[in-house]
Amino acid sequence: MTSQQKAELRIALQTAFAEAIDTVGLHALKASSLFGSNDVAYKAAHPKRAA
Amino acid sequence: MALINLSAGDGSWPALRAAWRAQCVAAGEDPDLYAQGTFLVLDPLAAAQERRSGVYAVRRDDGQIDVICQVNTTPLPGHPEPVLRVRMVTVSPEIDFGVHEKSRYIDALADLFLGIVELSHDPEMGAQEFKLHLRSPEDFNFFRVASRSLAAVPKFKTVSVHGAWLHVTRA
Repeated sequence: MTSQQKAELRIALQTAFAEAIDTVGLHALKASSLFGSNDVAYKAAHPKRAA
Repeated sequence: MALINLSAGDGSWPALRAAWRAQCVAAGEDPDLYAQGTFLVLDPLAAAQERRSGVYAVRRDDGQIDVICQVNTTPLPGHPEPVLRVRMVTVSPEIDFGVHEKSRYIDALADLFLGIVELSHDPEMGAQEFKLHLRSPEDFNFFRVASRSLAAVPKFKTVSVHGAWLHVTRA
């Protein structure tokens, strides 16, 4: 990808994620497994894998 | 910003571990409890030298790493070509424990996806389709909504959620 294509894609991705966060609220993103402090939930869901 | 490969061999993985431990300590949190499930998977992977598989990170221009993940490209049943799979996506303790403007979270996600798209063009890791693993119901709820907005991105041909995966096919 060219620098211009990358810049355009980054703007499109920023717009998409901004829309998603505006729709569900930032708290919904912060409750996801992307945040390592939520790992307790992951361990509860996958006790054998996380043991 | 760039998506870079991290490995124990070149020191980049232990450097990341040390930096994130320091961020946990600075936030008053126990580093050993942060993202245990992620590190159980990524520690051995970073130490291994596997073809078409590795630990990747979103590195900002100032050198700070905001997001890490596991990536592998492999043939899958029902897919005519190999698929690039992204798992164990985890943001830095600084993002996790800090209070930031909404734009910081948007940028972290956008830069992760931009990096994945770039990696999907790589001769070794490349694939027309990539999948992001959704580890919890909360992930599913967020990315189900996000998939509708991502479907409008011109670079993507299809975006959908199936089971525990977000599927994206490049245009």
